[in-house]
Amino acid sequence: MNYRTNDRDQLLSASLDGELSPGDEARLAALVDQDAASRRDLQTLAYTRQLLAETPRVPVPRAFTLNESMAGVRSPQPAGWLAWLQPMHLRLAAAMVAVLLLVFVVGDVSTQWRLVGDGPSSALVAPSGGLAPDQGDPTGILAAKTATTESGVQSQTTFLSLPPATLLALEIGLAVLLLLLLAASWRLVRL
Amino acid sequence: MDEQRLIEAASRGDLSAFNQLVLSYQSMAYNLAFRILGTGDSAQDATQEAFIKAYRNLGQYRGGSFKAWLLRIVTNSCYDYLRRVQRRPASSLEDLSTDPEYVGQLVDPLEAPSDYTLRQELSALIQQGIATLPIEQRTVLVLSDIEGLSYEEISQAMGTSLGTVKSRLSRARAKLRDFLLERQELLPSRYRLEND
Repeated sequence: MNYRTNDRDQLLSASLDGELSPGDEARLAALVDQDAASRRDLQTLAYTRQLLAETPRVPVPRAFTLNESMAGVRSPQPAGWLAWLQPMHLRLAAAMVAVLLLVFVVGDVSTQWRLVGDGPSSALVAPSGGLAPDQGDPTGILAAKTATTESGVQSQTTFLSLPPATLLALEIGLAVLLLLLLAASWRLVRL
Repeated sequence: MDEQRLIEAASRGDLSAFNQLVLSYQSMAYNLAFRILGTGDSAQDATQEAFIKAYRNLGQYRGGSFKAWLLRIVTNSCYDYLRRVQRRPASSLEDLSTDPEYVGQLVDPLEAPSDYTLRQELSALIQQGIATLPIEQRTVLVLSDIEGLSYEEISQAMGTSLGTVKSRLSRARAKLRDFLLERQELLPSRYRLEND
């Protein structure tokens, strides 16, 4: 056998790891059979490898887990369907709710104001409490007036013909929704 | 533990998922760093730095062996650490390899005191031998014979070819063998090689 030392050592070393091809295994068998030095080298390499395997592991002195500061991030991103949620989306929704709330409040207040301003003398008689034909209110928003019925009972109508309790509940609901959206948006920005 | 799911969650920025991966691999990472650098303090620094780098570069992980990918980062962190030390004249690489705190860390409460002492002596001598190897040979030896990685995993972890892994491992084993044979008298009797 005419192996260079490096080639021979590689063959011996790889044999310890079972990384030899069938051809190399045959060459190794012939080598250790004919060469006493190679036989001894294989033995001492195996011994060295065994010593390394018996070397105890070094206990970990502490946990290497990361905190947010070390990781350079603020917090995990939401997963699943929430992943699309961005502060901009919440702000947009908050703006829309705010506009809606404004419309309701302004409409409600202006309706009340008109009723006060017009007074009972200008009240029109509306058979069903709807818009009088000569009011010129194309939007239909101000459909309500205090109307005096034949029986003398004064029925109060409000913005969009909604009952006062419903209107109030809507306004409160919109205000709460607006606050929640603003809070969520602020929270996302803080993350 | 579903490692793949943890990796995916960590890639989306889930730090908690990443920390579960850290707990799974921290012993292997720390031991590799310790064997390359030789001291507890430097190994802690390099290991922590490696996990931070791994978290920030998870987007570059393209599948395959996560262990090999992570150990490559640990190895590079160790090399960076050694380069920093080499630039500083105040501390030398020799100091790194002869730190006596190493022995103090090999405590296993379940082991008999006599066995513990023997293994402690063996470990100290082997660590001295490892420290004499060139850095690339040191790394491949630790990955193979202490951490038990396959040639393929070592190739990935070191970013080298299989042929280079075989060559470096062969040289490292031969050098360490020569080192140990020259110091047989320092080895505990149980670990001495019997003469033919």
